[in-house]
Amino acid sequence: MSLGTVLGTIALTDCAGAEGEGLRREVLAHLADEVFAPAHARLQVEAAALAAATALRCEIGDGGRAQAAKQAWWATRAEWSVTAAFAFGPVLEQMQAGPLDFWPARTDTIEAKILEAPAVIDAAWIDGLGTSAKGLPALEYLLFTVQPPPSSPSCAYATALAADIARRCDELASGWEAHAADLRGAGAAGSAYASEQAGLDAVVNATIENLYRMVKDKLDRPLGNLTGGEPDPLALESRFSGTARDDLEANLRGFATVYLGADGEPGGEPGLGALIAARDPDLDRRILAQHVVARDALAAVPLPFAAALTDHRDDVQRARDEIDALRRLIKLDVASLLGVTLSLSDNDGD
Amino acid sequence: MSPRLRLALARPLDAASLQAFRALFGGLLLISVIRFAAKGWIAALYVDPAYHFPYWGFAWLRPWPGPGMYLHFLALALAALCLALGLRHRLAALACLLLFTHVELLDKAAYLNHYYFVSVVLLLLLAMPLGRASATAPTWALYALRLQVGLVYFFAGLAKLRGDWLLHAQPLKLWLAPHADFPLLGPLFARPGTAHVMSWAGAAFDLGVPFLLLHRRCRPYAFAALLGFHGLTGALFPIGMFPWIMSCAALIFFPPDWPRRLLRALGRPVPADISHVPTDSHAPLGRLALAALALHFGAQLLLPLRHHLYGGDHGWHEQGFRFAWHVMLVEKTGVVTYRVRDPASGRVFIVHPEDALTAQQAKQMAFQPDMILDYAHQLAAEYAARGLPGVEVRADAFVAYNGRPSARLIDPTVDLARERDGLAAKPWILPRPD
Repeated sequence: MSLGTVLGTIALTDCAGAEGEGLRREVLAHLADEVFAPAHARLQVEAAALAAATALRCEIGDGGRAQAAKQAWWATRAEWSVTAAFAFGPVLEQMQAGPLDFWPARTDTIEAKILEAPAVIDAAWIDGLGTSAKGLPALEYLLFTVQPPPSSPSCAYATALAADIARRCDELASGWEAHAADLRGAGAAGSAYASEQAGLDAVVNATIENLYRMVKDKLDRPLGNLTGGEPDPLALESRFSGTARDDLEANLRGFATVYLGADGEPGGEPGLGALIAARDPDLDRRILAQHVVARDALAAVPLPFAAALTDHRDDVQRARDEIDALRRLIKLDVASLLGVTLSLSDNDGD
Repeated sequence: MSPRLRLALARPLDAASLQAFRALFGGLLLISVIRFAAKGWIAALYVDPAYHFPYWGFAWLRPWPGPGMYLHFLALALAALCLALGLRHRLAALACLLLFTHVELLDKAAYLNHYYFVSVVLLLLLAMPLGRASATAPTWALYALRLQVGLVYFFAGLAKLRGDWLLHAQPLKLWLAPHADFPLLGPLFARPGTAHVMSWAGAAFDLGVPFLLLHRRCRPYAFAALLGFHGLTGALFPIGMFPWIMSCAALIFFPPDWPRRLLRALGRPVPADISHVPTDSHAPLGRLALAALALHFGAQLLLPLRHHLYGGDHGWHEQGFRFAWHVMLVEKTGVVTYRVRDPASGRVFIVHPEDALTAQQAKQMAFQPDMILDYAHQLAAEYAARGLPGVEVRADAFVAYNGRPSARLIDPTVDLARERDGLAAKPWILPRPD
């Protein structure tokens, strides 16, 4: 290859390959303002509705109120599971993940705390509980399994848990209002992110973590893959309400909004995928295709999910493998393409 | 060997630049140790991990228990201070060499080229008469350090003469793009052409700078370019003390009396110049010393080239990659999970190594085949200890390498528990896809 050819190639790639300098900023702004903050605002609304529905259910014990409280729990759970795809910033700073979503729920701990509870449970008492006794899984246990009668200690406990969940979701939404400005202004003075790249690192690392948790905690563990044993339905997320698949689908919807933008559809808004498409259109196509494959594989698992662990194990395993393939694309190809520093690494390079 | 050469190598010269090198090197080592401790890396890298990735032949080396590692680093800091001050400099150099190299050999996950450089230079300093009272030093000492520093740059440049670097500007293309908001130069980094220009310039710099530093008239310009190069790479990439160490080390290319000239220029008191030493007033360099030097530099010349024995792309398979000055040459990320099978029961366990390793270890081992093998052996040992002897361990390892689509690194059918580590080629590493 002659020097002229090399220089010509360089000039051509330079003209063709230079990405719009503002695209990264545009992506961060869109994700902060149109995806992350609104998702937490929706979570806040649903959690407030859950608190109200639980309180009402424990005042009036008809079947309609009980069903309304369950539906409010499902709605809150779905929004929470969407936000798992971008669990960074306030959720880490405020350490809300444990108090809101400790699982598998420890039912004996919950029952013990109900017995210890004061006659009037206040926010401070709930706040002082360990994570295994509160949060969405504990409330799920009470609403879907215990189904306590109105005015019972269990119902009072459930009402207090729902109020605690609502308060925490309030804090998260408020936190994201401020944090969205940090992410939007990444690299500017005063931002929590020293550079736009640092903001991007946080987004991509959270995406990787979400997919990793889906594979390992939410599928490998109940499948028995980690123990070399039989499937373990008790290790399923949201096992009391039987919505483990819904949680996983919501996790993937969260991923889709990060990658595709707020509408979760290709070719529209500037999500992470816009950056990928600008630098490597083929990789973008592979990710979109793998997302569809993973989503369809998950949807193909027959319900109830707990029974599918044994009756349709291959289907569940296939869903797990396809989500893992998506994880690899993000952790390897995307992180490499975007120059993402994979999180929590100590030491220097070279 | 020619007696004239041995005489020339032993001829005394002004030790000022060598003394300055020793002082600067000791000082930088001291700063490195303080920085290492301040960042919490003693605990993160050597106290917290339950498992360490051993170097081949050094599996017997273990971190000290309890507060031992902290005391180890304290001793290293004191030895570095003594080296900087020239107090019992040989003992200090020996202590630094043993203490530093011990740490370096504890865990492959923490390998850095400049750590290796520090060990090699300490070995050379150990052999040099550089006490505070020494006004002169033998010629070989100066040229040994110049050769050592020069070899780092030269082999770093030689390693860049490959398609990825020169034709595809990888990995610089991947590394520069994220710095689009870098002050002044940022918009330039976002342009792919910049990566090509910097790749070629970087290779030319590495290959040429040792020779330019040797040339009297080129030296100031070459040194200025060197400072610019290390300043820029230090600002762009997380390479810690490397730019400082190499910038200070390059001072060895200046005339032996440069510290005196500098002090004079600054108007500071200057120790008297050494008087001219007749060429025949000293004993020639001993044959044993000459043989040791030849052995050292023979190894330094061969180690960076040993990867050719393995064939293929050493950036992909990493055989012969360490201890070879293959600096800033690859961008790799990996994901690995293990399938552990108990042949007695047929039970299969999926193992995510992230569960038991630190983030740094998990990140490093996921794309380095010998570390993937090490951990397969560790898993086999752990399962045996749990009452499942003789398990089979297979790896699903995928790697993204220099901008290529991710691909399998390890043959998933091979039982790694039965494979031995060593210097021989590893046939279970899959070839790099095009």
